Amino acid sequence: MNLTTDLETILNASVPLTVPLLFAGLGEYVAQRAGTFNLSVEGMMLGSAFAAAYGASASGSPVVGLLCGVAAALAIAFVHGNLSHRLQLNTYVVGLSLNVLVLGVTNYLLSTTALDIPGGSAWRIPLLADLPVVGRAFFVQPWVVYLLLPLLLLIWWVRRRRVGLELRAAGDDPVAGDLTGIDVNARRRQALLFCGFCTGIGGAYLSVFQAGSFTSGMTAGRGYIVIAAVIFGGWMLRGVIGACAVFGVAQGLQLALPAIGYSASPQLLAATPYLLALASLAVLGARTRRPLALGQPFAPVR
Amino acid sequence: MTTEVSEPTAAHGGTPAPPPPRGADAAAARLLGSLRSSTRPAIEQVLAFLCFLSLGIGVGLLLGWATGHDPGVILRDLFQGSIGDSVSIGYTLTAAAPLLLVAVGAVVCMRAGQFNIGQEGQVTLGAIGAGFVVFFVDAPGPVVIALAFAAAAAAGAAWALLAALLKFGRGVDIVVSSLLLVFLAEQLLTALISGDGPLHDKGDAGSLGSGTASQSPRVPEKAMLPSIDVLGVAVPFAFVLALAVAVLVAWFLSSAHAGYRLRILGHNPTVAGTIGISASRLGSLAVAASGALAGAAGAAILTGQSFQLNPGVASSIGWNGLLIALAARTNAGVSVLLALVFGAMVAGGGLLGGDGIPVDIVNVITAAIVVALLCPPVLLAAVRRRRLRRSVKVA
Repeated sequence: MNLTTDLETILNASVPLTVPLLFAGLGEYVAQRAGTFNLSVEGMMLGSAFAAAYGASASGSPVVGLLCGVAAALAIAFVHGNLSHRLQLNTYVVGLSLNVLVLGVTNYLLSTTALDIPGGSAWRIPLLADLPVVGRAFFVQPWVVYLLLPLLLLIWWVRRRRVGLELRAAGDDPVAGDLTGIDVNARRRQALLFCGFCTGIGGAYLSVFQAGSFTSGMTAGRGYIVIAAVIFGGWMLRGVIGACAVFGVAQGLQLALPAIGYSASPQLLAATPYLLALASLAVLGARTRRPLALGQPFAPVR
Repeated sequence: MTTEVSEPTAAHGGTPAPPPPRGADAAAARLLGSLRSSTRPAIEQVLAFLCFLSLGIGVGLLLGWATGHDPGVILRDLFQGSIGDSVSIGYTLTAAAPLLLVAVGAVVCMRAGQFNIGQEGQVTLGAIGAGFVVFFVDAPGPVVIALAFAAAAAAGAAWALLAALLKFGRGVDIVVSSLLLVFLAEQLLTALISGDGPLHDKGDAGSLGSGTASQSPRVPEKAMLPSIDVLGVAVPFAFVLALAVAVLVAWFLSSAHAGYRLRILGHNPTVAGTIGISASRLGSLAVAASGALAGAAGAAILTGQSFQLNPGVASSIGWNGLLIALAARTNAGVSVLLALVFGAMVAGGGLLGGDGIPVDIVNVITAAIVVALLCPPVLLAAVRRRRLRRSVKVA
């Protein structure tokens, strides 16, 4: 056993597990910065994973599957946004009930349909794929993975634009935002829709491009890991990306460590995201840089 | 429905108000205020309840119909399996008991303004605590059961207190910390019942998957919950306990002095502070109480339903109990009703499989019921806001 191959094994196991976290993490980051503590990200991911599997299986095309997945996640985001930012229903309650609802619906539909998902091929980026250690892990992946780059650039670009400022105002101080003429609730709904869009790609990746199947409750709490990642990342873009990477590696290690001859408690590794998030909250306490109005409904009085 | 739905928030009032409290918990507290004030035991309230209840069931039936099953068959199975005969009623009560325990606990902490949503984890911890007693304590049956419930309540309360400690010690929103603790509890349970864990089934019982699967041994016969015969129906002990707790909590919140202080804390923390109520002490107590009840639900599940610890032993009972409490607008009496409805759905779901209908439709129905029950007050509030806005525009 030498270090290079071990590292390669770990990376090969971790990268596919990090990708869905990153997609959903980017979405959840935007939603939380706009002031929605979005619990339904788990439901969005599960719903989109199922819809993508169904769409790909019915049409025989992974692209159609991806579109179906994104549409399903957008639909859940739309319902969540309208219930909590139009009707002012509490966002935690909406998120939790949507998660239960989506879990029930997908389990129900799964047992009434037979899925046959077409296999997709991985893209091989020339030259880069031949790099030692990182080559196979980062540059031989299904094409969906590379959608992360434009999404990331979009968020990074939008952050410094007017829209980005308005979104953050909706999350930090909705009253002041409202007074300057921002439609706070509309911005929050849009942020949720964006979260649905990103999470939808992540869910579709999970079922169609990575696993090639859909199993009951296959997201297995990834949505909650993403929430932990946003918390552990301190509600900062680079923090969230880093946290997703750390949590993805923690998941990858569960697979990779036995393969390279080490043993570690899989439960401890699985608990890492929550432990780290709790620890960061406990250490920072009230000094965390969370959006000031996170989770608060806003009712304009005009 | 009633007229008074949401209390005016600081933004609504004309007088100079203090700046609205910040943070996720403050928001949650405001929601609870609005939920509470819409609870009125009027006939129209009951009618609306039934109306939205059937709306939720209707959504489930619609899904069944859309996937090619006869809604009539689904409905018949649900009724037959839940209240069809005395055995079915026993099943319904068995399923309702842990849900009711969790829901009543959630009512207590919600009324105190503590938005603890980690019941699922507290149930898991309760099951672990009960497991340690059931598998390691050698004593007569009733003693083991009593000890199991005590250990479960203590474990659930301790897990909930962790969240309370983070809130009052470090200022962490209890919503966030209790949620994260749910998933830690899951991993803790899995670690305890797999591999070298102390609760792992070592495989001498000869039951399915023993020795290899992540599961505990089966609960010994003597530690299984007894039931009481009432008019031919075997009423499980856990349900009697849950009902007694629900009545006690309803009385405590409406009539006891401490319950009144609890409600003040939930309604207006500023006033509570002024009259000398310690938010950290009373709030922590309320959270611990809710955790203890959720833990007791874990014991009820282990000794009354699953008879074995496995990774999914809490099986969403924590989430559903929490949703029951919220859909019941943090009212203990309505919680009893809703827990019975949920229990009936779970029990009725048992018959669906025989007709080739996936049992998961039950989860769709219960989630739809929750959403349907939450909607009326906010719909009314939205209508009122719109009317207000229009009248302001005219003037």
